[in-house]
Amino acid sequence: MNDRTARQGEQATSLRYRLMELAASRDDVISLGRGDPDLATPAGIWEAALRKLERPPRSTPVRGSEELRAAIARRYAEENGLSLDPEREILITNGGQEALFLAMLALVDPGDRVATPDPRYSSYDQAIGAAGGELVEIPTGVERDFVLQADDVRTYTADAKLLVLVNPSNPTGAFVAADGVRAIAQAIQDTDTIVISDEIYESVVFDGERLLSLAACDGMRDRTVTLSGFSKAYAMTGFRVGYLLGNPSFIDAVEALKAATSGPCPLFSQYAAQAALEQEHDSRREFLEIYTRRRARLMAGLDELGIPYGFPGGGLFLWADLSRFGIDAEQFCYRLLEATGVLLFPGRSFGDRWQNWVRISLLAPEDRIGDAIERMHGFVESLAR
Amino acid sequence: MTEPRDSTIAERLAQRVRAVKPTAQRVNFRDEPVPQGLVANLREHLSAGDTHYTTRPGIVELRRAIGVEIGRCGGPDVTADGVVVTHGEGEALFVTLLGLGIGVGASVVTAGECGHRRLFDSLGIDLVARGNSKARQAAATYRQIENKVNEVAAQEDAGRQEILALGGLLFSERACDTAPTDFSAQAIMIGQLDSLPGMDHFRVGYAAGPATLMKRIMTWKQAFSICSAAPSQRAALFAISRERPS
Repeated sequence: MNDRTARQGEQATSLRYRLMELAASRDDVISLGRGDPDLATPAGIWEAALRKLERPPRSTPVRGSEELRAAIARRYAEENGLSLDPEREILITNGGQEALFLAMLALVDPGDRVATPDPRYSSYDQAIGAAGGELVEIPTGVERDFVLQADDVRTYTADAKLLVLVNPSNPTGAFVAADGVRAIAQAIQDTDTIVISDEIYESVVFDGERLLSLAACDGMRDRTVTLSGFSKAYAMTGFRVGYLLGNPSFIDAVEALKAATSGPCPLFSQYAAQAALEQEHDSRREFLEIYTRRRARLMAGLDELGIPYGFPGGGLFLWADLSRFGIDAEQFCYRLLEATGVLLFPGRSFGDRWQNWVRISLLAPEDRIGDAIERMHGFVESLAR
Repeated sequence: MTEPRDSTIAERLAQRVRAVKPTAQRVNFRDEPVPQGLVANLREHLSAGDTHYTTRPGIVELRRAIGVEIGRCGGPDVTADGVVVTHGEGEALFVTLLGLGIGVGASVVTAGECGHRRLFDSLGIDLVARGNSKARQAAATYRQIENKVNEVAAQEDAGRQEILALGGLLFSERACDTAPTDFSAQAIMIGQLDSLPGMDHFRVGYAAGPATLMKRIMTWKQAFSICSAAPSQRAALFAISRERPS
């Protein structure tokens, strides 16, 4: 255990939970905080799972049901250009978070350096810390809309064992387009690094762009673990289903860890995930249209308020700069919540140097986002006085 | 696309998993029908929007019900704040060890069989026997209560953090006959709800103990898997309310 890294992640995470607890004690909160889609899981998904529940099998593999892994393999062949062996290269987890944690335990020895873009999702810190790794922050900045640059990957992974990247980004919404992904892939090979590519937001990419899976780039299959899941794409956070794609030896190792810790995922959740992949009407397209409208409304609102932000090319968040208000973003978030009931997350919960920034989610209906902007108008004016 | 081969990733696996031999691991379930009414109950909750994350420690009614069962079996008073719902007993032990700061190089005392030996091994924790010279420096004592293995506390365990693995005992028919009589107020109890009819494939477990300790354990549960699956928790609550109508 690297206590310092783990504690850093724990403190950052607890910042968010303290605000959520405060929000839970109020009425009429507009939550633009947590990454839990407000959209309903399509009923067809859980209805199909309920039908299968009536006939449970006598056993199940720890790495996940054969049917679900086969459905994931089909999806990747169709959409990501990756031909996967469902028996050997796919493992189902209790959500993306468990996938990340197990992958870290399987790949990181005490003292290994693990590079990740800054700002970042703080649970990375806890997983790295639990494995005994040391975090290396790769800086990103507003001047390039927080898009990770290949040159920076080359510099900061020179003595790192592992790179963890998330595309589109949580918390910034930065999206690395195909050319950028290829350039990063080359940088990773130049420094002989291995990588966990967190693609959990892959279905939320705006402006007609599509995610290029890092593992699909030339020379990357051998050195990439892909992480994704169903929580964000199908609004299924409560079902806790994620997965890892990777080399058979890696999947065997993670399976052993999973058998020792949490065992196979609940069958009902796996049934729902399979139903999500096999639904006739693909709800991801409809969700993307909704998020696209919300993004436009939020960007327009922040423009009205004079709050700068990085351009969000994908994902469920905007990353906004509050420097001009002259108060620390954590204070801003507490006071905003108390005064208006609008919940945002302070930047420091995604990295120490982001005390003037906030993460704002797209996870409220468009009209509620409009209401939140209205409420923020009065609050921002009161700060200016 | 080239075929997978033993790769860069495979060469760089962590030491803790290097010795793993590939085996197709399966978990067996009892041949039981789904409890009557469960599907309708789940449909009702899913329709009402129980498709999101639950709170990190789990649904409060379920945590309260687990606390009541611990008391019924002669255990200490445990409120909902003293319970964290997990994906099975293994996850409960894993987050308990992380929460207690027990990791690589630490020792844990056990008196015999240990159903979670692979977990201790994969975390680099030594399991040592009572009376072993290393036992004096051990961070905790692990006692496996189910099936009366290691059920008795020993004088030399006094002063060490106790982890009591109850397995499916709390919710089995014989719970109150075989439950330990020497629960310490500071003990952390871990277990699972698999023994409830139709519950083995929902993978619900728990860690329970003093609220102050559980808060730390809960932060690691959150870091590991955020919360346990909402439908599984609802199913467990339904099953408990059928078995323990009071």
